[in-house]
Amino acid sequence: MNDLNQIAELSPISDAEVSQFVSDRTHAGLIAAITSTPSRSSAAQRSKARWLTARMPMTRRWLVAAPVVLGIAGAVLIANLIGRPGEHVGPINVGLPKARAALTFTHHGHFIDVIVTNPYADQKKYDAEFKAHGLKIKLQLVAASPSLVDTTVYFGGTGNFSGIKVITEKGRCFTGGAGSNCPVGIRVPLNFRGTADVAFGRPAKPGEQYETTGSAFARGEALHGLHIIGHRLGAVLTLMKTRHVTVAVYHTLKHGNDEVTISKAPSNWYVYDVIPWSKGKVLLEVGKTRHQPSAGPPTAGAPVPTPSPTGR
Amino acid sequence: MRHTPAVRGDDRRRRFEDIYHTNCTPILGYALRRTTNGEDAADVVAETFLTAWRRLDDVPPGDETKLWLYGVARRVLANYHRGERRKTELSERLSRDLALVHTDPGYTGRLALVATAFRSLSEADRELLALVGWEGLDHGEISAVFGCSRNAVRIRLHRARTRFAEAVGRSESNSPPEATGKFEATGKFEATGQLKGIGPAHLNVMNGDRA
Repeated sequence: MNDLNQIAELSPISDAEVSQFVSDRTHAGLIAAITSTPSRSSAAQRSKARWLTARMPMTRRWLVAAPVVLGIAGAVLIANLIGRPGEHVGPINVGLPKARAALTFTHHGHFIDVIVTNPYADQKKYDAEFKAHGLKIKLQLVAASPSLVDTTVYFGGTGNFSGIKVITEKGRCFTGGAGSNCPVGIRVPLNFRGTADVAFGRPAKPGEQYETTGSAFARGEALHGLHIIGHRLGAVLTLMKTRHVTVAVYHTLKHGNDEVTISKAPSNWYVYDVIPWSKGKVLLEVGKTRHQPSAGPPTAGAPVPTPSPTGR
Repeated sequence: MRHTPAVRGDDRRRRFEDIYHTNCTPILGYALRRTTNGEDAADVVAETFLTAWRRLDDVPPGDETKLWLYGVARRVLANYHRGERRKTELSERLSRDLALVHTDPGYTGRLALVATAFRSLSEADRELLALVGWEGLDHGEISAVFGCSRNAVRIRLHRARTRFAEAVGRSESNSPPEATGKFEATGKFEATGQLKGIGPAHLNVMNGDRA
Protein backbone atom coordinates (compact mmCIF):
# COMPACT_ATOMS: atom_id res chain seq x y z
CA MET A 1 0.00 0.00 0.00
CA ASN A 2 1.18 3.51 -0.82
CA ASP A 3 2.78 5.19 2.18
CA LEU A 4 0.65 8.32 1.83
CA ASN A 5 -2.48 6.19 1.72
CA GLN A 6 -1.37 4.60 4.96
CA ILE A 7 -1.01 8.01 6.54
CA ALA A 8 -4.42 8.98 5.23
CA GLU A 9 -5.78 5.94 7.03
CA LEU A 10 -4.52 7.40 10.28
CA SER A 11 -6.67 10.49 9.96
CA PRO A 12 -8.73 10.57 13.15
CA ILE A 13 -11.65 12.43 11.62
CA SER A 14 -12.67 13.75 8.21
CA ASP A 15 -13.90 17.22 7.34
CA ALA A 16 -17.24 15.72 6.35
CA GLU A 17 -17.60 14.29 9.84
CA VAL A 18 -16.47 17.53 11.45
CA SER A 19 -19.18 19.63 9.86
CA GLN A 20 -21.98 17.88 11.74
CA PHE A 21 -20.68 18.71 15.20
CA VAL A 22 -21.06 22.48 15.33
CA SER A 23 -24.41 24.24 15.31
CA ASP A 24 -25.19 27.30 13.19
CA ARG A 25 -25.79 29.22 16.37
CA THR A 26 -22.32 28.44 17.64
CA HIS A 27 -20.79 29.60 14.37
CA ALA A 28 -22.83 32.80 14.53
CA GLY A 29 -21.80 33.39 18.14
CA LEU A 30 -18.12 32.92 17.36
CA ILE A 31 -18.29 35.28 14.40
CA ALA A 32 -20.06 37.91 16.51
CA ALA A 33 -17.54 37.56 19.32
CA ILE A 34 -14.54 37.78 17.02
CA THR A 35 -15.78 40.70 14.96
CA SER A 36 -16.56 42.66 18.09
CA THR A 37 -12.85 42.74 18.93
CA PRO A 38 -10.58 45.39 17.46
CA SER A 39 -9.19 44.64 14.04
CA ARG A 40 -6.14 46.22 12.52
CA SER A 41 -7.79 49.01 10.55
CA SER A 42 -10.66 49.81 12.86
CA ALA A 43 -8.75 49.90 16.12
CA ALA A 44 -6.73 52.94 15.17
CA GLN A 45 -9.87 54.89 14.43
CA ARG A 46 -11.50 53.92 17.69
CA SER A 47 -8.74 55.08 19.96
CA LYS A 48 -9.14 58.82 20.38
CA ALA A 49 -7.13 59.31 23.55
CA ARG A 50 -4.18 61.63 23.48
CA TRP A 51 -1.18 61.66 25.71
CA LEU A 52 -1.83 64.27 28.34
CA THR A 53 1.26 66.33 27.79
CA ALA A 54 0.49 66.64 24.10
CA ARG A 55 -2.48 68.79 25.13
CA MET A 56 -0.52 70.93 27.58
CA PRO A 57 -0.29 74.61 26.67
CA MET A 58 2.85 75.29 24.69
CA THR A 59 4.19 77.81 27.22
CA ARG A 60 3.85 75.35 30.08
CA ARG A 61 5.65 72.69 28.07
CA TRP A 62 8.50 75.08 27.44
CA LEU A 63 8.73 75.98 31.14
CA VAL A 64 9.13 72.32 31.96
CA ALA A 65 11.38 71.47 29.07
CA ALA A 66 13.77 74.39 28.82
CA PRO A 67 16.03 73.67 31.82
CA VAL A 68 16.12 70.01 30.94
CA VAL A 69 17.00 70.71 27.34
CA LEU A 70 19.78 73.09 28.35
CA GLY A 71 21.17 70.65 30.87
CA ILE A 72 21.36 67.57 28.71
CA ALA A 73 21.56 69.03 25.24
CA GLY A 74 25.08 67.81 24.68
CA ALA A 75 24.33 64.30 25.86
CA VAL A 76 21.20 64.07 23.76
CA LEU A 77 23.09 65.26 20.72
CA ILE A 78 25.60 62.45 21.13
CA ALA A 79 22.90 59.91 21.88
CA ASN A 80 20.93 60.87 18.81
CA LEU A 81 23.96 60.32 16.68
CA ILE A 82 24.36 56.73 17.82
CA GLY A 83 20.83 55.65 18.66
CA ARG A 84 17.41 55.37 17.07
CA PRO A 85 14.25 57.26 18.05
CA GLY A 86 12.79 56.21 21.38
CA GLU A 87 15.80 54.07 22.21
CA HIS A 88 17.88 54.21 25.39
CA VAL A 89 21.54 54.94 25.04
CA GLY A 90 22.81 54.72 28.56
CA PRO A 91 20.59 57.03 30.59
CA ILE A 92 19.51 59.00 27.54
CA ASN A 93 16.20 58.34 25.82
CA VAL A 94 16.81 58.99 22.17
CA GLY A 95 14.45 60.96 19.96
CA LEU A 96 11.19 62.17 21.46
CA PRO A 97 11.31 63.42 25.05
CA LYS A 98 10.61 60.54 27.42
CA ALA A 99 7.46 62.16 28.79
CA ARG A 100 5.90 62.13 25.33
CA ALA A 101 6.89 58.61 24.29
CA ALA A 102 4.23 55.90 24.53
CA LEU A 103 6.90 53.21 24.54
CA THR A 104 10.56 52.90 25.41
CA PHE A 105 12.94 50.73 23.41
CA THR A 106 16.02 49.35 25.13
CA HIS A 107 18.60 47.00 23.65
CA HIS A 108 19.60 43.99 25.76
CA GLY A 109 21.99 41.65 23.96
CA HIS A 110 20.03 39.97 21.19
CA PHE A 111 16.73 41.56 22.19
CA ILE A 112 14.93 44.86 22.27
CA ASP A 113 12.79 45.43 25.33
CA VAL A 114 9.74 47.53 24.56
CA ILE A 115 8.06 48.90 27.66
CA VAL A 116 4.69 50.65 27.69
CA THR A 117 5.06 54.01 29.36
CA ASN A 118 1.61 55.33 28.54
CA PRO A 119 -1.24 52.80 28.40
CA TYR A 120 -3.66 55.46 27.16
CA ALA A 121 -1.63 56.68 24.20
CA ASP A 122 -3.16 57.02 20.78
CA GLN A 123 -2.87 53.81 18.78
CA LYS A 124 -1.11 55.73 16.04
CA LYS A 125 1.62 56.59 18.49
CA TYR A 126 2.37 52.97 19.31
CA ASP A 127 2.29 52.13 15.61
CA ALA A 128 4.62 54.97 14.73
CA GLU A 129 7.14 54.08 17.41
CA PHE A 130 7.34 50.45 16.33
CA LYS A 131 7.60 51.52 12.71
CA ALA A 132 10.44 53.88 13.60
CA HIS A 133 12.32 50.84 14.87
CA GLY A 134 11.56 48.81 11.76
CA LEU A 135 9.24 46.45 13.63
CA LYS A 136 5.93 45.28 12.18
CA ILE A 137 4.30 44.94 15.56
CA LYS A 138 0.82 46.05 16.50
CA LEU A 139 0.57 46.64 20.23
CA GLN A 140 -2.84 47.60 21.50
CA LEU A 141 -3.92 48.64 24.97
CA VAL A 142 -7.59 47.75 25.00
CA ALA A 143 -10.20 48.78 27.53
CA ALA A 144 -10.72 45.70 29.66
CA SER A 145 -13.24 44.72 32.27
CA PRO A 146 -11.67 44.56 35.74
CA SER A 147 -10.69 40.88 35.73
CA LEU A 148 -8.68 41.33 32.52
CA VAL A 149 -6.96 44.58 33.38
CA ASP A 150 -3.19 44.09 33.23
CA THR A 151 -3.39 40.79 31.41
CA THR A 152 -2.31 39.76 27.93
CA VAL A 153 -5.59 39.41 26.06
CA TYR A 154 -4.18 38.60 22.65
CA PHE A 155 -0.90 37.46 21.18
CA GLY A 156 -0.47 36.35 17.60
CA GLY A 157 1.48 36.98 14.45
CA THR A 158 3.38 35.57 11.54
CA GLY A 159 6.95 34.51 10.91
CA ASN A 160 9.03 33.94 14.02
CA PHE A 161 6.65 35.92 16.21
CA SER A 162 6.70 33.22 18.87
CA GLY A 163 10.20 34.43 19.74
CA ILE A 164 8.59 37.53 21.17
CA LYS A 165 7.98 37.26 24.89
CA VAL A 166 5.74 39.29 27.12
CA ILE A 167 7.63 41.08 29.86
CA THR A 168 5.87 40.97 33.17
CA GLU A 169 6.92 42.79 36.23
CA LYS A 170 5.68 42.30 39.68
CA GLY A 171 4.51 45.47 41.30
CA ARG A 172 4.64 47.55 38.11
CA CYS A 173 1.01 47.21 37.13
CA PHE A 174 -0.92 50.06 35.68
CA THR A 175 -3.53 49.15 38.27
CA GLY A 176 -3.91 46.21 40.57
CA GLY A 177 -6.86 44.73 38.66
CA ALA A 178 -5.54 41.23 38.15
CA GLY A 179 -2.80 41.00 40.69
CA SER A 180 0.61 42.56 40.73
CA ASN A 181 2.47 40.46 38.15
CA CYS A 182 1.45 42.25 35.00
CA PRO A 183 2.55 42.65 31.42
CA VAL A 184 4.50 45.84 31.01
CA GLY A 185 5.97 45.28 27.58
CA ILE A 186 7.46 42.80 25.14
CA ARG A 187 10.93 41.43 24.46
CA VAL A 188 11.60 41.27 20.72
CA PRO A 189 14.49 39.24 19.26
CA LEU A 190 16.73 41.34 17.05
CA ASN A 191 16.26 38.77 14.29
CA PHE A 192 12.47 39.11 14.36
CA ARG A 193 11.28 39.39 10.75
CA GLY A 194 7.57 38.67 10.93
CA THR A 195 4.53 40.52 12.16
CA ALA A 196 3.00 40.41 15.61
CA ASP A 197 -0.22 41.49 17.27
CA VAL A 198 -0.23 41.95 21.01
CA ALA A 199 -3.02 43.33 23.15
CA PHE A 200 -2.86 44.15 26.84
CA GLY A 201 -5.92 44.94 28.92
CA ARG A 202 -5.94 48.40 30.45
CA PRO A 203 -8.50 50.04 32.75
CA ALA A 204 -11.42 51.61 30.93
CA LYS A 205 -11.80 55.35 31.07
CA PRO A 206 -15.02 56.67 32.70
CA GLY A 207 -17.96 55.64 30.53
CA GLU A 208 -15.77 53.81 28.04
CA GLN A 209 -17.14 50.53 26.70
CA TYR A 210 -14.96 47.50 27.33
CA GLU A 211 -13.25 46.07 24.29
CA THR A 212 -12.46 42.83 26.03
CA THR A 213 -14.28 41.30 28.96
CA GLY A 214 -13.91 38.48 31.43
CA SER A 215 -16.75 36.62 33.09
CA ALA A 216 -19.18 39.01 34.74
CA PHE A 217 -18.92 36.80 37.82
CA ALA A 218 -15.14 36.78 38.09
CA ARG A 219 -13.30 38.42 40.94
CA GLY A 220 -13.31 42.16 40.53
CA GLU A 221 -16.21 42.17 38.07
CA ALA A 222 -19.56 43.84 38.72
CA LEU A 223 -21.45 40.65 39.53
CA HIS A 224 -18.66 38.70 41.23
CA GLY A 225 -19.97 35.66 42.99
CA LEU A 226 -23.62 35.98 41.95
CA HIS A 227 -25.63 33.14 40.39
CA ILE A 228 -28.21 34.58 38.03
CA ILE A 229 -28.00 32.47 34.89
CA GLY A 230 -31.30 30.70 34.26
CA HIS A 231 -33.24 32.98 36.59
CA ARG A 232 -36.09 35.28 35.58
CA LEU A 233 -35.11 38.74 34.50
CA GLY A 234 -37.17 40.52 37.17
CA ALA A 235 -35.36 38.73 39.99
CA VAL A 236 -32.01 39.27 38.32
CA LEU A 237 -32.57 43.02 37.95
CA THR A 238 -33.47 43.24 41.64
CA LEU A 239 -30.27 41.45 42.55
CA MET A 240 -28.20 43.60 40.21
CA LYS A 241 -29.62 46.71 41.78
CA THR A 242 -27.99 45.79 45.07
CA ARG A 243 -24.65 45.96 43.26
CA HIS A 244 -25.58 49.24 41.53
CA VAL A 245 -25.33 47.51 38.17
CA THR A 246 -27.67 48.39 35.30
CA VAL A 247 -28.37 46.87 31.89
CA ALA A 248 -26.76 48.64 28.94
CA VAL A 249 -28.43 46.48 26.34
CA TYR A 250 -30.30 43.20 25.96
CA HIS A 251 -29.60 40.57 23.35
CA THR A 252 -32.12 37.94 22.34
CA LEU A 253 -32.66 35.49 19.52
CA LYS A 254 -35.05 36.27 16.72
CA HIS A 255 -36.18 33.69 14.19
CA GLY A 256 -33.93 31.00 15.58
CA ASN A 257 -30.37 32.14 15.13
CA ASP A 258 -30.40 35.90 14.57
CA GLU A 259 -29.14 37.66 17.68
CA VAL A 260 -30.78 41.06 17.94
CA THR A 261 -30.44 43.99 20.31
CA ILE A 262 -33.46 45.20 22.26
CA SER A 263 -33.73 48.03 24.76
CA LYS A 264 -36.25 46.37 27.09
CA ALA A 265 -37.30 42.82 27.93
CA PRO A 266 -40.22 41.34 29.88
CA SER A 267 -39.42 40.63 33.50
CA ASN A 268 -40.69 37.04 33.18
CA TRP A 269 -38.03 36.23 30.55
CA TYR A 270 -34.95 34.25 31.53
CA VAL A 271 -31.31 35.32 31.66
CA TYR A 272 -28.93 33.17 29.61
CA ASP A 273 -25.69 35.06 29.89
CA VAL A 274 -24.18 38.25 31.24
CA ILE A 275 -21.33 40.18 29.66
CA PRO A 276 -19.65 43.20 31.22
CA TRP A 277 -20.30 46.28 29.08
CA SER A 278 -18.73 49.24 30.86
CA LYS A 279 -18.21 50.24 34.47
CA GLY A 280 -21.50 49.48 36.28
CA LYS A 281 -23.23 48.22 33.15
CA VAL A 282 -23.71 44.77 31.61
CA LEU A 283 -25.17 43.18 28.53
CA LEU A 284 -27.80 40.53 29.23
CA GLU A 285 -28.63 37.68 26.87
CA VAL A 286 -32.28 36.88 27.52
CA GLY A 287 -35.17 34.85 26.11
CA LYS A 288 -38.66 33.69 26.89
CA THR A 289 -37.79 30.01 27.49
CA ARG A 290 -35.90 28.76 30.52
CA HIS A 291 -33.20 27.18 28.38
CA GLN A 292 -31.50 28.98 25.54
CA PRO A 293 -32.67 27.65 22.15
CA SER A 294 -29.93 25.87 20.26
CA ALA A 295 -29.49 23.53 17.35
CA GLY A 296 -27.55 21.54 19.90
CA PRO A 297 -24.34 19.59 19.94
CA PRO A 298 -24.25 15.92 18.90
CA THR A 299 -26.09 13.64 21.25
CA ALA A 300 -24.31 11.77 24.00
CA GLY A 301 -22.85 8.52 22.86
CA ALA A 302 -22.27 9.69 19.32
CA PRO A 303 -20.05 7.20 17.53
CA VAL A 304 -16.35 7.78 17.49
CA PRO A 305 -15.33 8.81 13.98
CA THR A 306 -13.52 6.17 12.02
CA PRO A 307 -10.39 6.78 9.99
CA SER A 308 -11.03 8.06 6.50
CA PRO A 309 -8.90 7.97 3.37
CA THR A 310 -8.18 11.62 2.89
CA GLY A 311 -9.52 13.48 5.83
CA ARG A 312 -11.95 15.22 3.55
CA MET B 1 -12.25 36.33 28.01
CA ARG B 2 -15.36 37.60 26.35
CA HIS B 3 -15.55 40.35 23.84
CA THR B 4 -18.41 42.74 23.96
CA PRO B 5 -20.75 42.34 21.02
CA ALA B 6 -21.19 45.38 18.85
CA VAL B 7 -23.06 46.07 15.69
CA ARG B 8 -20.73 46.14 12.70
CA GLY B 9 -22.44 45.89 9.36
CA ASP B 10 -19.50 47.03 7.31
CA ASP B 11 -17.67 45.37 4.48
CA ARG B 12 -14.92 44.09 6.73
CA ARG B 13 -17.34 42.08 8.76
CA ARG B 14 -19.06 40.70 5.68
CA ARG B 15 -15.73 39.65 4.23
CA PHE B 16 -14.77 37.96 7.48
CA GLU B 17 -18.09 36.13 7.59
CA ASP B 18 -17.50 34.85 4.08
CA ILE B 19 -14.04 33.67 5.03
CA TYR B 20 -15.33 32.01 8.16
CA HIS B 21 -18.23 30.20 6.53
CA THR B 22 -16.12 28.99 3.63
CA ASN B 23 -13.27 27.73 5.76
CA CYS B 24 -14.57 26.85 9.21
CA THR B 25 -14.98 23.16 8.43
CA PRO B 26 -11.49 22.51 7.01
CA ILE B 27 -9.87 24.54 9.79
CA LEU B 28 -11.89 22.75 12.45
CA GLY B 29 -10.94 19.45 10.82
CA TYR B 30 -7.29 20.49 10.79
CA ALA B 31 -7.43 21.32 14.49
CA LEU B 32 -9.35 18.20 15.50
CA ARG B 33 -6.94 15.93 13.64
CA ARG B 34 -4.05 17.40 15.62
CA THR B 35 -5.50 17.68 19.09
CA THR B 36 -6.82 15.03 21.40
CA ASN B 37 -10.11 16.64 22.35
CA GLY B 38 -12.67 19.09 21.12
CA GLU B 39 -11.92 21.73 23.70
CA ASP B 40 -8.35 22.13 22.52
CA ALA B 41 -9.46 22.16 18.90
CA ALA B 42 -12.02 24.85 19.70
CA ASP B 43 -9.27 27.05 21.15
CA VAL B 44 -7.17 26.60 18.03
CA VAL B 45 -10.07 27.41 15.71
CA ALA B 46 -11.09 30.49 17.67
CA GLU B 47 -7.52 31.78 17.80
CA THR B 48 -7.04 31.13 14.09
CA PHE B 49 -10.12 33.04 13.02
CA LEU B 50 -9.40 35.78 15.55
CA THR B 51 -6.05 36.23 13.84
CA ALA B 52 -7.79 36.32 10.47
CA TRP B 53 -10.08 39.07 11.72
CA ARG B 54 -7.25 41.08 13.18
CA ARG B 55 -5.18 40.71 10.03
CA LEU B 56 -8.05 40.78 7.56
CA ASP B 57 -6.14 42.96 5.14
CA ASP B 58 -3.41 40.32 4.97
CA VAL B 59 -5.75 37.41 4.19
CA PRO B 60 -5.35 36.45 0.52
CA PRO B 61 -8.45 35.96 -1.60
CA GLY B 62 -9.81 32.85 -3.27
CA ASP B 63 -8.30 29.43 -2.84
CA GLU B 64 -5.31 30.88 -1.00
CA THR B 65 -7.47 31.88 1.96
CA LYS B 66 -7.69 28.34 3.28
CA LEU B 67 -3.95 27.82 2.90
CA TRP B 68 -3.27 31.06 4.76
CA LEU B 69 -5.57 29.91 7.55
CA TYR B 70 -3.83 26.52 7.70
CA GLY B 71 -0.60 28.42 8.16
CA VAL B 72 -2.06 30.43 11.02
CA ALA B 73 -3.57 27.35 12.64
CA ARG B 74 -0.20 25.61 12.39
CA ARG B 75 1.45 28.45 14.31
CA VAL B 76 -1.32 28.54 16.88
CA LEU B 77 -0.80 24.83 17.45
CA ALA B 78 2.93 25.36 17.71
CA ASN B 79 2.38 27.87 20.50
CA TYR B 80 -0.17 25.61 22.10
CA HIS B 81 2.24 22.72 22.25
CA ARG B 82 4.96 24.94 23.60
CA GLY B 83 2.69 25.55 26.53
CA GLU B 84 1.68 29.01 25.42
CA ARG B 85 -1.98 28.19 25.31
CA ARG B 86 -4.21 31.21 25.48
CA LYS B 87 -7.58 30.07 26.69
CA THR B 88 -10.28 32.49 25.68
CA GLU B 89 -13.98 32.51 26.22
CA LEU B 90 -14.40 33.06 22.51
CA SER B 91 -14.25 29.32 22.11
CA GLU B 92 -16.60 28.42 24.97
CA ARG B 93 -19.62 27.61 22.86
CA LEU B 94 -17.54 25.83 20.28
CA SER B 95 -15.99 23.77 23.06
CA ARG B 96 -19.43 22.76 24.24
CA ASP B 97 -20.43 21.63 20.75
CA LEU B 98 -17.25 19.62 20.44
CA ALA B 99 -17.27 18.24 23.97
CA LEU B 100 -18.15 14.75 22.81
CA VAL B 101 -15.72 14.59 19.93
CA HIS B 102 -12.80 12.29 20.57
CA THR B 103 -10.09 11.99 18.01
CA ASP B 104 -8.38 8.90 19.32
CA PRO B 105 -9.28 6.16 16.84
CA GLY B 106 -7.50 3.41 18.76
CA TYR B 107 -5.54 1.96 15.87
CA THR B 108 -5.20 -1.80 15.70
CA GLY B 109 -3.33 -4.36 13.62
CA ARG B 110 -1.07 -3.08 10.90
CA LEU B 111 -2.52 0.39 11.25
CA ALA B 112 -1.14 0.45 14.78
CA LEU B 113 2.31 -0.28 13.39
CA VAL B 114 1.92 2.46 10.83
CA ALA B 115 0.80 4.84 13.56
CA THR B 116 3.81 3.94 15.68
CA ALA B 117 6.10 4.60 12.74
CA PHE B 118 4.37 7.89 12.00
CA ARG B 119 4.69 8.99 15.60
CA SER B 120 8.40 8.22 15.60
CA LEU B 121 9.02 10.84 12.90
CA SER B 122 10.07 14.39 13.58
CA GLU B 123 7.39 17.02 14.02
CA ALA B 124 8.32 18.55 10.71
CA ASP B 125 8.02 15.27 8.82
CA ARG B 126 4.71 14.43 10.48
CA GLU B 127 3.15 17.76 9.61
CA LEU B 128 4.31 17.57 6.03
CA LEU B 129 2.97 14.05 5.57
CA ALA B 130 -0.26 14.91 7.37
CA LEU B 131 -0.92 17.89 5.12
CA VAL B 132 -0.73 15.52 2.18
CA GLY B 133 -2.53 12.56 3.70
CA TRP B 134 -5.07 14.32 5.91
CA GLU B 135 -5.71 17.66 4.26
CA GLY B 136 -5.02 16.37 0.72
CA LEU B 137 -2.76 19.31 -0.20
CA ASP B 138 -0.38 19.21 -3.16
CA HIS B 139 3.15 20.59 -3.29
CA GLY B 140 2.08 24.07 -4.35
CA GLU B 141 -0.52 24.34 -1.63
CA ILE B 142 1.88 23.15 1.04
CA SER B 143 4.44 25.67 -0.12
CA ALA B 144 1.82 28.37 0.48
CA VAL B 145 1.11 27.06 3.98
CA PHE B 146 4.79 26.92 4.91
CA GLY B 147 5.84 30.00 3.02
CA CYS B 148 8.61 28.13 1.20
CA SER B 149 9.21 27.16 -2.42
CA ARG B 150 7.42 24.34 -4.18
CA ASN B 151 10.76 22.71 -4.86
CA ALA B 152 11.65 22.82 -1.18
CA VAL B 153 8.38 21.07 -0.39
CA ARG B 154 9.07 18.41 -3.01
CA ILE B 155 12.50 17.69 -1.54
CA ARG B 156 11.28 17.72 2.05
CA LEU B 157 8.40 15.44 1.19
CA HIS B 158 10.65 12.98 -0.58
CA ARG B 159 12.90 12.81 2.45
CA ALA B 160 9.98 12.55 4.85
CA ARG B 161 8.47 9.68 2.86
CA THR B 162 11.80 7.87 2.86
CA ARG B 163 12.11 8.24 6.61
CA PHE B 164 8.51 7.13 7.06
CA ALA B 165 9.09 3.99 4.98
CA GLU B 166 12.16 3.20 7.06
CA ALA B 167 10.20 3.74 10.27
CA VAL B 168 7.43 1.43 9.09
CA GLY B 169 10.07 -1.18 8.31
CA ARG B 170 11.53 -0.86 11.78
CA SER B 171 8.10 -1.00 13.33
CA GLU B 172 7.27 -4.19 11.45
CA SER B 173 10.53 -5.88 12.32
CA ASN B 174 9.97 -5.13 16.00
CA SER B 175 6.42 -6.45 16.05
CA PRO B 176 5.16 -10.03 16.61
CA PRO B 177 4.70 -11.93 13.36
CA GLU B 178 0.90 -12.01 13.47
CA ALA B 179 0.77 -8.24 13.23
CA THR B 180 2.59 -7.97 9.95
CA GLY B 181 1.35 -8.68 6.47
CA LYS B 182 -2.21 -7.69 7.22
CA PHE B 183 -3.58 -4.27 6.85
CA GLU B 184 -6.96 -4.88 8.43
CA ALA B 185 -7.31 -4.64 12.17
CA THR B 186 -6.80 -7.89 14.00
CA GLY B 187 -7.40 -6.63 17.50
CA LYS B 188 -4.06 -8.05 18.59
CA PHE B 189 -2.53 -4.67 19.21
CA GLU B 190 -4.95 -2.44 20.96
CA ALA B 191 -3.31 0.92 20.80
CA THR B 192 -5.56 3.23 22.71
CA GLY B 193 -3.18 4.31 25.42
CA GLN B 194 -0.02 3.89 23.43
CA LEU B 195 -1.09 5.99 20.53
CA LYS B 196 -3.21 8.59 22.20
CA GLY B 197 -2.58 11.88 20.49
CA ILE B 198 -0.57 10.44 17.68
CA GLY B 199 -0.34 13.60 15.70
CA PRO B 200 -1.47 16.23 18.10
CA ALA B 201 -0.01 15.46 21.46
CA HIS B 202 3.49 15.88 20.20
CA LEU B 203 2.50 18.31 17.52
CA ASN B 204 3.37 18.30 13.94
CA VAL B 205 5.05 21.57 13.43
CA MET B 206 7.79 22.57 11.09
CA ASN B 207 10.16 24.98 12.66
CA GLY B 208 12.08 27.18 10.32
CA ASP B 209 9.63 27.73 7.54
CA ARG B 210 12.05 28.61 4.84
CA ALA B 211 13.94 25.78 3.29
